[in-house]
Amino acid sequence: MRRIFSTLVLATLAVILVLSCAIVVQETEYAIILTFGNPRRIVSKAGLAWKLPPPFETVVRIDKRLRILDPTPAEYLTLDKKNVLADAFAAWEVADPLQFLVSVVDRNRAEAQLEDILRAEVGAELGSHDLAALLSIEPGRVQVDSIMRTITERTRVKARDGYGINVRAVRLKRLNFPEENRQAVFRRMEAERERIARQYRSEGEEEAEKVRAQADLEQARILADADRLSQEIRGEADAEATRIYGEAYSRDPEFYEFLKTLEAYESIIDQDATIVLPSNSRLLRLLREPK
Amino acid sequence: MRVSWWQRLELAVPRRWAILRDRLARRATPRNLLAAVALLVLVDWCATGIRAVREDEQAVVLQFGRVVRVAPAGLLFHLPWPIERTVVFKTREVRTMPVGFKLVDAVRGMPPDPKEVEWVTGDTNIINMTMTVKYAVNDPVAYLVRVGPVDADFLVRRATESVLTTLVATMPVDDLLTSGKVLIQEETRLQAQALLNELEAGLRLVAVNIGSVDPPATVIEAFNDVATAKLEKARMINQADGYQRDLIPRARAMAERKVREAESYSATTVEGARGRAAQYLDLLAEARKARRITETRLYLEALERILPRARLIVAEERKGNAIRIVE
Repeated sequence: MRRIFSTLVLATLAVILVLSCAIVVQETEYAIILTFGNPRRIVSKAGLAWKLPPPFETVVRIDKRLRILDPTPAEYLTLDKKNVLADAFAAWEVADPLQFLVSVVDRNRAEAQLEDILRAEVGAELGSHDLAALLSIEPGRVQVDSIMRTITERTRVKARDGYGINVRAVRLKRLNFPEENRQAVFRRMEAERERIARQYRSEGEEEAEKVRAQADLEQARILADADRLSQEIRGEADAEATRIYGEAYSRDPEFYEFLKTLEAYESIIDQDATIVLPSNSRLLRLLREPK
Repeated sequence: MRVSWWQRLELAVPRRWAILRDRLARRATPRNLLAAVALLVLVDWCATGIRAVREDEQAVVLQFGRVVRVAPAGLLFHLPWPIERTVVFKTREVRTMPVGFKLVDAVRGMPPDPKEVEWVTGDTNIINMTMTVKYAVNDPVAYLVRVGPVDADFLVRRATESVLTTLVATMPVDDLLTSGKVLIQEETRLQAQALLNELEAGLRLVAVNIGSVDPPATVIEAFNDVATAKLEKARMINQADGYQRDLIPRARAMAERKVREAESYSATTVEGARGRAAQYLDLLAEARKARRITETRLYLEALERILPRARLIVAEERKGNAIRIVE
């Protein structure tokens, strides 16, 4: 019985010893093994690893997953002295766990440092571009991608050298204007819309007037054409009539003259006319000298 | 005596039980008991290495924290805890993430924060835009190793926002309010996916849906007025068109009338001339037969018509120029 007991005690002690020597390293972390508090080696591969039991060797774990640093938006001045409210974020991860541990210890402090770098780089880069490089409808004018790449590159270098951090990407999450500029933008938008509305209305008038004038013109053309045509027709008719008369009358001009004179008498002499006939006129001859 | 089968059973079970109990009692030495307990513990321990993976799941098997394999749906056997453990992902589960607003606000019916909902367009206008992003875990290992469940939402949201900011910054406000929406959805999804791939997040964007695009409340009236003005323009042009459609046929009708009138004049004049010429020629023909007679007849007929109308004065020539007037 006593032998069993001592065996059990020994076994337990052995298990405890083994457990204190074994460390399980997750895929999501680096393990740094410290000898009396001094970093000795890094286990970057996940799985089972061995170390001396404490207090000889202890372990510190550092998360190696991607982290998003999302600081509050800040005001920046562009090259053409425009205020913008830029909101950039950085995706980062621990690249050198040892340096990371030594310089910033944990993620919160790391983010504070990274935020400073980020703000400085964003400020410097935005300050060397016009606003049109951020906002423009001209094709090829906007260079946000290349600006962010430059910022990423510079931030990466500083963060890696200083804190063992690898900055994977810095992107512009949001762009806006500080409050007073924002109000100015709203006012400008309003003015712009008013202008566009006015333009639509006067364009409407313009086009309507064009259509109407065109219609009037067409009307005048149609009527003038018709007038010309009818004059032509009338003229031809008159000519034809003249020709017919001429042809007929020229057969015997004397007789025509005689007839026409009679007709002329008929139309000249009306009720108000007074005819003075000499009594020896041909008409009255029979009155005086009956045969 | 016939014994039914249950009576036999009633007799047999206690007997069997007694036999079993006796045997167990004989073998129940402390050593055997310990062995039994150990066996039980062992079986139980091994059972921690068995689990069912459902149809819509994938299980990542970790050996001392290291990813060793990804198991598909079905019964999964792995080494018992703590040597191996599994993390299960629902790979078909699509999660939804709001961009430009907070779900909490939307549920409460509160307007979104200007800071979240406002975007600046390429022509320096501000618009309010909301969208939802649907995503799923695509690569469980990458997701587990690189992101973790806490940061995934955040990452997806930031990635989408950054792409959208860049895209909107190149577009005029009118495009965004009209046709640009659909274009932006697909483009945002593609570019945000590219960023997630670059970060090896193991996430797949299923869809980016633009919820609403509106001008900000302070300027919405001005925008609506533009829409009204557009309609007015169309109305004005329509009216003018109506005027034209009314005027031209009328003019054509009038023109037609003029020409027809001229034609009828022409007919009247020419035919009249022909008639009169014919009449004249008839008369002439008649006159030629007896010229003097005809002329006298015509003369007298004319006088018959004329003289009754007019006052006739007959002047008699006398010596001394006295004139006697006969009426």
